[in-house]
Amino acid sequence: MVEILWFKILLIPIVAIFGVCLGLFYKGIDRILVARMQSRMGPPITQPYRDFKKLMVKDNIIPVNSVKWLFNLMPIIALSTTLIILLYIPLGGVGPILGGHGDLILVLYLLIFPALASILGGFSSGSPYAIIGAQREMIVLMSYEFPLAVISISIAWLISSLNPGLNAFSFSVIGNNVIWGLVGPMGFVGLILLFLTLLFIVQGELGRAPFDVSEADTEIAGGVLAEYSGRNLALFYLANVTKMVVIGSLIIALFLPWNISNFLNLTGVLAYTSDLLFFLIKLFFVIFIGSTLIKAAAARFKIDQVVSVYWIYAVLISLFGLFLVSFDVIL
Amino acid sequence: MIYLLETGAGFWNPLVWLLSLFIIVLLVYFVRCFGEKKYNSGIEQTTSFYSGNTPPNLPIKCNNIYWGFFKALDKYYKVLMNIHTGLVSDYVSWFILTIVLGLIVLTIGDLLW
Repeated sequence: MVEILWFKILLIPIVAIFGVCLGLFYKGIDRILVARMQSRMGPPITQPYRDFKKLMVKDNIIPVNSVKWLFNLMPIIALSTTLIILLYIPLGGVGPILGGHGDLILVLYLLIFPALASILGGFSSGSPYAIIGAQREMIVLMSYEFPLAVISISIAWLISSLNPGLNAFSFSVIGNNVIWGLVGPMGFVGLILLFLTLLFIVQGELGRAPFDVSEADTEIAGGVLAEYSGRNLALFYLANVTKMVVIGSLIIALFLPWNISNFLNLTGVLAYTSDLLFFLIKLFFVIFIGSTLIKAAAARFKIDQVVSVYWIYAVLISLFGLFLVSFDVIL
Repeated sequence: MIYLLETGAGFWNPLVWLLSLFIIVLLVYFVRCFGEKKYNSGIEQTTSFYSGNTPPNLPIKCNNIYWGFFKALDKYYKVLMNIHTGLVSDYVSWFILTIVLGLIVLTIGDLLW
């Protein structure tokens, strides 16, 4: 048992580097697709890698009226806490590295940390723009947590009500009990509503349009990140692109956990490779629909609209989805 | 599993989490060390950005955080504020009403299942 744990710990840096590189790659694709949808050429696919490299050689300016230790620490915390979530979520046909050491509830809690790090970073910078951005980030964070919790609990309740002996919050149990096959037509509609709501939460989690009120370049000059530059900004940049992979992987784990090797009857290395490729394709579609498409199509919401969308509409839709699923199971 | 906290529904191993976090923080710190450390501290670039003007020293109150909530859930808050009359008899009435409603829901739930 201890040997296995040490082997898993050795895998941690590999998964972390994989997550970051994948995030930068998808960011490149995302930027090209958004540009093409707006009739622009867009940057090359390697642009995010170049942006990171550029930020690392730029001056790391620290404002005089900032709380320096907090200002420097928060980018490290933001990236570290984003990367650690990857260890608890299944990636590419392989179970989570730390699957036996944490479940869905833990992941939901860990998702709060990167946002909190950027909030604290914004407050510590002492800039009026950053303080306003941090307050807005806090509102967005509080807004999407409620529907996210409803969705997660719906899935766990569905699995546990049909399989009482199983731990419904475990990702391995969720992966082995594909929720679409557990319900009838009414429950299927309910699950689609939950899935669409979760796709809408992606924008809030990533702080992207139409929920990018906390950065809002044209209003508050970058908000929480207004005073960040150089290597500190580079770490926040990596945290943001990695979070894209984290959220996409979470959606896949909850709603689309199928592996292609089962359908093709593949085994060994071929099965792992095909599952990984299938996972990357699923991740692309989840990011494209949940983030790229909405970002290109929608304008920024006002702050009260963000709260209305998440607390009223998203909660009502997700509760209605839960009602349909529970009604389907009870019948 | 050693040190695995189980609640009956969820489980978590804080030691493994802490160890993993430590490794990742080290990795991130290592990457950060490759970045440029220096900057010119004596010039204007270290003052907070405020479109070229001197930043105002205005305190931003904490209740501003909830402005979005107050605005979006205005009708809900109005109902709540009207309920809060400050009279103890009203609060006791609400308490009794809530208990009665809870008991009705529990009774119906018990009869159905």
